[in-house]
Amino acid sequence: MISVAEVGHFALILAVGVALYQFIVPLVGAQRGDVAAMRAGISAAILQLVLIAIAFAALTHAYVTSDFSVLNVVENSHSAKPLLYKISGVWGNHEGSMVLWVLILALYGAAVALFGQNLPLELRARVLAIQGSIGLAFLLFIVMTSNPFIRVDPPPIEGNGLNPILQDPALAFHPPFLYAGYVGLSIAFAFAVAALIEGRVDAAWARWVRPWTLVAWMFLTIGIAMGSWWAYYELGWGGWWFWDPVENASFMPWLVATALIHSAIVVEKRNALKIWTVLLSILAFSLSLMGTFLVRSGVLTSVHAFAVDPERGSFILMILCLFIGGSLSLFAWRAPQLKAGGLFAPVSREGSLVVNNLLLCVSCLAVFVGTLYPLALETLTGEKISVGAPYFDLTFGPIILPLLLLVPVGAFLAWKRGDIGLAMKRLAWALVLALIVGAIVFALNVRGPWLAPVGMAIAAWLVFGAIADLAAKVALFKVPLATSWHRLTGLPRSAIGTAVAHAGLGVLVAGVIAISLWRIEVIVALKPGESAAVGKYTVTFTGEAPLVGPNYTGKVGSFTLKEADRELATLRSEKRNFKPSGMPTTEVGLYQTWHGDVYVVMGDETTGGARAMRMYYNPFVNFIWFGATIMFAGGLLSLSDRRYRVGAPKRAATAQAVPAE
Amino acid sequence: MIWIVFAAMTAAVLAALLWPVVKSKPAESIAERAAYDRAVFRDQLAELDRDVERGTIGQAEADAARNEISRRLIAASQEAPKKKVSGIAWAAIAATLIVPAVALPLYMKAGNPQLADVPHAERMANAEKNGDMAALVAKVEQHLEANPDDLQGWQILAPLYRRDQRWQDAADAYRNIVRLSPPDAANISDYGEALVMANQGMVPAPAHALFDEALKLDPKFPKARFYDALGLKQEGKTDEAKAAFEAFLKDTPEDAPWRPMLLAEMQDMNAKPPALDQQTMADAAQMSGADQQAMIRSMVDGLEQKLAANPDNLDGWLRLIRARVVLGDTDKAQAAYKKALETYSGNEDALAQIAALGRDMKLE
Repeated sequence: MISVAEVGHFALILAVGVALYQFIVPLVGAQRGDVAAMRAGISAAILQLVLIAIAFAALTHAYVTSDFSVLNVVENSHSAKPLLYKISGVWGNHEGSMVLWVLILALYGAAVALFGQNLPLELRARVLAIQGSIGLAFLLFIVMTSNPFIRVDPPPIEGNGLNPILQDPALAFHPPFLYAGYVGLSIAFAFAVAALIEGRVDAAWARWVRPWTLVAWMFLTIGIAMGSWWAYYELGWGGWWFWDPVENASFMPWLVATALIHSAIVVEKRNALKIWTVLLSILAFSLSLMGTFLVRSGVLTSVHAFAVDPERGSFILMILCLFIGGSLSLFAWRAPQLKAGGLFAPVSREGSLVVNNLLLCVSCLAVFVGTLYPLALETLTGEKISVGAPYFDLTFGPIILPLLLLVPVGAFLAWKRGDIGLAMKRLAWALVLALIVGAIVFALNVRGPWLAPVGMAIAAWLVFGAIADLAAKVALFKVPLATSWHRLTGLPRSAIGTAVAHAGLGVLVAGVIAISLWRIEVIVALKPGESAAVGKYTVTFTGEAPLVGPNYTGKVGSFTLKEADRELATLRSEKRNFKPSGMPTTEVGLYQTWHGDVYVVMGDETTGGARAMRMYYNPFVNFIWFGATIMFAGGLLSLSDRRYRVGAPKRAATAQAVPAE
Repeated sequence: MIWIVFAAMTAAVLAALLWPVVKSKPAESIAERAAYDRAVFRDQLAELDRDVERGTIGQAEADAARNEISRRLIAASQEAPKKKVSGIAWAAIAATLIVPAVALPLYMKAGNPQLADVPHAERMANAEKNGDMAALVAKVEQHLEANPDDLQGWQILAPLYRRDQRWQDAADAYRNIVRLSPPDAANISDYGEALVMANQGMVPAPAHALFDEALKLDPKFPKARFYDALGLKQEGKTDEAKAAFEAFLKDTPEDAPWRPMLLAEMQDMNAKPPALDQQTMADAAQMSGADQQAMIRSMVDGLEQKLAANPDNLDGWLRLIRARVVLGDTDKAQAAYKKALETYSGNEDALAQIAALGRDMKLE
């Protein structure tokens, strides 16, 4: 019998060699103008994908068949686990998740190789070479320090099981999306480094790099949203965002990637902000590398743990220094040689995008400090502090608020020199509607703070501003409706995508403001038959029963949910104890409506046969994820714009006379 | 066999890398860089025209933009084409050798080509055929989980657990045997012994009660007598223990396998140092008495080597420290104690256990 695991292992190691080839040959080829060598990079990128896919499939095979001769499977799986979690267990651990990381990296590389016909061969070769170097670094990291194909002989009969908190559908699928975002930024990075090597960044470059950045941004958006959704209903704390370092590690690249997709527009349209955009591309990927380092080195769980077993952490740190240091040095050396581009007045579309970029970067800096300061402090002095929501509310909030105010205005400013008065005039009705929303909230809001009406008005301003943007573009109510519709269908998809994404941001902001200000929290001890009021709802604890799952046992509590004597639903909240580890988890009882969730968590037993219950009414909480989904859809629309499908120029081999040199 | 697959994979990779190099199109068929730029700028112009048509852009703004794009277009057209090299690039062909040169040594170091896959279901199904003891144990365990009252199953498991020194599991199995069979001194004593072993050689109160119970059924049952006396000794009832040991010795034939162990235990009582590790003793008891001491030493050395190779074994460390003290090797005991503390730095539970033993054994 051929060992699938060993075939996978060999494929992974072959990929190391191919990555080295992909790094060197096309880079040298592009320098020498050697067509054959440049084309070899394309094959290498596709091969890279095939080989890593074989390795990934082999690892998955080991998980699905519970092959406990593979150490990684022993440590993270169990034969009694449901199939879905056997599969998601592949990336639910350090080694497997790194294989997924390089698989996605190879996917992007192969995508550039296959779909990059519209790129000049030199540029494509250089981009693939940089991709190859990243792949090489991470493949070596895997093989040297985190090899998932280490075997055990003789194999144990049973595995240790997957961390039960990770046995959840949302978690099973959010890392691939998040990684698709993280790793997608590597393409922007590769384009930036290639541009620095070539010494040219121009409008065409921006157009070529932008769809890849957009894809990465979309996946980051949806990946972060899924992670937050998972934390919301699986961790059972009732919150949706905790400013946890792991969350921040994905949020920082998102902020910079958002800045990047905006600044790339300026490069494409006006040939300006070129150096800045290249820098952002480097920073965005650097932050996602740093996120990988933070999450993967163990530095977060404990600085001490990192010091005890520094092999992995040091290796990633080395990768980090090599890529960030290397690219920034290249930037310092080559950036001054880039030609400056078009000029623009402070009040203009470009100007507004510069403000957007500054605010996003400063807010990212605020998150950066809040995330790394405690780590630095612990490393230097041993003192452990935790920087929580209050810090981020005070720093991130005030920076991001003006940005939200500016979003609709920026879209109405003309390129080069804008007229703020004209923009505001065209936005007048959106502003009026937003103020009305604010006034209504102010009138209804009996207990919330002053921020509530302001926040809701801003959310409304974003949504109506986006609508106003589209309305102006189709001359709504100025021409017959049919004409407007015709105009809408004729608009560039990117224009529609922009408006949709900005409206999605408004929806998200509405959700965030609502849950931060109006959530209702009730913590009570209930005996079976007793009730508690949660806002306008009444939750009755009807009793608990033992629970036996495929790989856990526990208790399930039942609740009836009533609104003014009308029974709405029966909710179940579970406390599970997972077999191999004995680790407890909770399952939340959730009743979802469009205007908010009733969220019930059964806690521990207290004295006298009662159980501690935590119940929440989370108003408009689903707007957060709904908004993120709209933003994703906006990105998708923008991506489908025809201008990203400009084909490769057809070479009229003889017709175009090359001037004699 | 697997090397044929590896060779085929490597060959396929090399072929895929060589193909574009060998079959490379001539350089003239590759469009100039400027052509790509022009394609983009022409598209930008077309887009601008569409915007003007839709009226989403002002005339002045459109004119300015058209000027800019046109300038880019002209600049792109004036760019001198770079010289391209074509033909078979020997360097690129030679470079493919990078792949096997990197992959083979790495795989030789990290891979295990001789190992087969061991899918769980298949392993369980073929457990009998392959004489796979671990799988058989798991099968019996599974069976017992569904039928906890199957005496025969527990009777199969108990000695297997003993053999693997899974004392806690062995105690559980013997408990079930005692529960499911008529009262029997041997079964009860085995249960008690497993509890003692699980407790690192100290006789815990429930085990002591079991040995008493066994002695009620059969007052002469050797194993129960031995552990009963040992328990008394560990509880500090020295006189009672001495009497029990002496009575037991009187009934022990000259050639009884446990006689040396018994003598050692009695001698030790007079000599004073703390009780010999029961594990070591149990092993020693099966050998002839003559070179017991040497054997124990070699076993303890073996244990130390095992721990050096595989340090995550708290029981092992505790046994090693205790054994060193018992054998009188204070320096070595001290060293083992230090090493154990280092190994478990950060694991407070383990540290507490090690430190407690250290205090008992007067180590620092």
